[in-house]
Amino acid sequence: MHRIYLLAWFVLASSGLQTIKGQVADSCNLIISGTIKDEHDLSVLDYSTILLVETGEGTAANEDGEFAISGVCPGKYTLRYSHVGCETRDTIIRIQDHMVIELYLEHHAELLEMIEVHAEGLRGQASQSEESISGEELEKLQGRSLAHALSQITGVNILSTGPNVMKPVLHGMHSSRILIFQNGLRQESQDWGVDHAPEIDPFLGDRLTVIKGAGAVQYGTDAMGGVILVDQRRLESGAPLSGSARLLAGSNAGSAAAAIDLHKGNNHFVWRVHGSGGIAGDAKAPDYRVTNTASKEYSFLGVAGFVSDKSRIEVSYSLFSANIGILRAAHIGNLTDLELALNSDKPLIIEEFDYRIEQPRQQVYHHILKGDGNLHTSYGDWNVQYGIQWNRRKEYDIRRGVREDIPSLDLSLVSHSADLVLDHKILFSNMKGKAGLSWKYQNNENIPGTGIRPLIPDYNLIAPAVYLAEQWISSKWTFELGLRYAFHHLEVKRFDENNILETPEFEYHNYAATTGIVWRAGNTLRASSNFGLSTRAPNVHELYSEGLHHGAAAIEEGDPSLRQERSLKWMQSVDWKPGRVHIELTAFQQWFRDFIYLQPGEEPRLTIRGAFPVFNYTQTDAFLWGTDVSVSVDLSRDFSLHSMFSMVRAEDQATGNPIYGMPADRMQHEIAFTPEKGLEGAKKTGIFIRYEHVWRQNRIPGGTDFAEPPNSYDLLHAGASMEWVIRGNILVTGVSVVNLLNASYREYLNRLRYFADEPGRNFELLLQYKF
Amino acid sequence: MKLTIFKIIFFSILMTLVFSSCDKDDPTPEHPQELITTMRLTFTPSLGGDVVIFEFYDPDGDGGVDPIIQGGTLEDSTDYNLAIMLLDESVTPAEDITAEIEEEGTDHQFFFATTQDFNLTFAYLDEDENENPIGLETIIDTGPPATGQFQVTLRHGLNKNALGVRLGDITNAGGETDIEVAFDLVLQ
Repeated sequence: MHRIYLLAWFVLASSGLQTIKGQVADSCNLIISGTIKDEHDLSVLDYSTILLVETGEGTAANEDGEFAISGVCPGKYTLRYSHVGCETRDTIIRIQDHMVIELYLEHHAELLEMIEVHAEGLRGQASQSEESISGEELEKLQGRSLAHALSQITGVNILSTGPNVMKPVLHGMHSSRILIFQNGLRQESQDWGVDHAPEIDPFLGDRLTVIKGAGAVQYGTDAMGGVILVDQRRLESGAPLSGSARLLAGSNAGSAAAAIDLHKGNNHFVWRVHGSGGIAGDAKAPDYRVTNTASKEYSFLGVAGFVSDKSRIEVSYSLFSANIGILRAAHIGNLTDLELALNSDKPLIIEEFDYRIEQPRQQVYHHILKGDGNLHTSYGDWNVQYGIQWNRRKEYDIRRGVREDIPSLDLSLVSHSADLVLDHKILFSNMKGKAGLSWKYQNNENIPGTGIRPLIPDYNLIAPAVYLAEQWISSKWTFELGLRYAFHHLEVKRFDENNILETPEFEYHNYAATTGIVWRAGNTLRASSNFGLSTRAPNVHELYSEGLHHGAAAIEEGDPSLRQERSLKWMQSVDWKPGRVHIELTAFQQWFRDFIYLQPGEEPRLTIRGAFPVFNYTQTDAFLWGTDVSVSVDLSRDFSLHSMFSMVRAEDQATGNPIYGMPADRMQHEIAFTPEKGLEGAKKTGIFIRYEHVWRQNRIPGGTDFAEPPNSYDLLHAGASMEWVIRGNILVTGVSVVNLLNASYREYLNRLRYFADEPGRNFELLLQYKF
Repeated sequence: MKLTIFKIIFFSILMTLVFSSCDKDDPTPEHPQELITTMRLTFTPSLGGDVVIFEFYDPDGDGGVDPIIQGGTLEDSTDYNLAIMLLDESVTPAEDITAEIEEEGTDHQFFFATTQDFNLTFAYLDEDENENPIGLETIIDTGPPATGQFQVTLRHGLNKNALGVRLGDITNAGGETDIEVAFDLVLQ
């Protein structure tokens, strides 16, 4: 009978504040604490009132929406909470133990209803540094790309291939070293390619979370860099029809995008429909058009669910489709061409602006069909999930003959995954955790007919896994321990030089472990330390890749004798919030054994197109360390300052050289003006100006790159937004200017930096209607 | 009732597992369609004499066994007709790529260069639909004796109207390189 229904996030590991006091659970000394937020934009509702109806005991939240009621006896209560401008809400809770909850009020709807909220009896903060963006802040960032929105979290950089292909980089790690989860399902795609962006709708997600630790045992053994979660708010029964419509337009590439989201909950039946689409033409650098960087994207998501007191079943289907042009001038035939491109300040091919997407281009589809069920029992919550993903990727190159419409690379990746998780009830008053079983089957197939030897071979992968993650939580301390084991069986089907089929098989035992500690001093200070051990089996492309990169004039070759890569990441973080200042510091040190990387070979390979440098996948020991700093200061009631800084250092311990491809140091300062009362009759007004500085990456290994790293650069961005209330609904209008000064610059982590500048000034217009 | 729903879910998962674990058929090898294994340069003296053949030969394409690049010796101060032939000899019968280049003549052009010691001059003999050169047929005046390298480049998607390109100057041609091979050359 451990039933507590509270409206909260589907993913419960969020960054709520923890204020548990007292030790014994069975007497009248329990504490209910938590935060009250606006259901729509997740802003905290200050000075809300909270009342336990049965005892008459109540309190008011502080200015951060936080509250605590102490001296509560175990039992069933009605929690009544309200805020000026919101309707009062009642929620039934059953208390057996200290409890931290997030409560939501609807700020603009007139409907009064009973809301069911689901929360954990205990919420401990994870010792792995976790940061998330949600609500209004996220809505303003969405629509461009997932990586772009994530880059507003300290420690996240963008690895790009022109203006449309962006991948998140977390503490220097990307691609198969970070895991991306969309609504609880691991995104399975051709993520090994540095020019393969995650196939996720840029408008999707009510919350983006970045877990920076390495031992994220409930997600995988191979999260060397961390985990990214894209989550949508859980659909609740009895919720009225609501949703949002968004429009985004940009001047630089003549871009336009729109998204619509609708959701509703009947008594037992809940549903959601989400769709978005976008189009962009060739981007413009300050001095020229960046030809063939147009793109088209659309995506769809439908969710239907059945909800009852004890259980919940949901089925969802989503499709993401994109057609992306790659800078024409980046397609080169050989080293001579590359040298010509490098010696020219402009791309060698510049054409008039248009929306045409020509070769080289990528066309990707990602289908996800998912079913999941949730059952409350006396042991805890059971979760079962099954997902089928189909990722099709076609890459078109400039080819001789009438072959331009035949893809040069045509891959179909089908993944099945099954997960069973028990989120067990609280044990020994202080312990919560979960245990899980997971299973994955993956089949990668090269669709015949490309007329080009495949870059990566066909394969089958079977990977079962088991894990346990526990937390012991007291008022001041949280201790964590987690273990995961995953077995990988990989069968590769490839052809040798004589076109004889060979089917080598590989077996790997992968493990991950994490342990951590969190210390809290009231609501103002929190310090944590976490060790994460992770193991990553070599990816198929690291074992068997063979082929030429047309953007880099380099041949990449895999090595089937590679071993697993292992790492130990130690993270320390401090979160200090004295009064008007909020400081977050994260430091990490990561030791790699058998770090897999591309090493330039000694002998160039002679082909009919001339000699090419050969890069081989090889292994070394490596050491990485870095720091993320974020400081927010409320300068006055209306003005605030937010600064971020991040740096990563990486060293090959065998040679003492830096490791290639690490992000340069970066800092950002933003001043925001948010007057208490909106200007011109608007409910809210926000104006910001942001300054960004990126240092030159001087730490590069000698002799591996074709060009010097680009110089440091400074960018200025600004924007303003107004929020209006129209018949109880919210209209947000925003304008912003990216790269206000139209600076010409190149970014080290853009793979097309050899050929073209980054886009120049972009005026953006955002319209959003929430109902 | 709810438990029944769970049973259905579990059962369907089980079924999917069983079906999806069935192995797919073995893949079929991909034959590289744009492979050029052989470039044959045939030098025929305009006024009669011994025909000399240079050849680039890489039967397994990129990677694998290194290509064989066979240069040769030409008479100095002699006019030669140079004919270029491109083949894919990885298939039987060998595929003639020369015809493909000719068909797409407006998109292709060969360029010739030598190391410094030479004073070799050449003139295109063929032309595409727009009366621009392709370079499959060229006349070469070898000039004084020298030793070094003779480089053949094939550009694709170039601008033949750019300055000097029609006369064989690659500098402003643009486009991308399909072929770039250097042969040893002795003029004596």
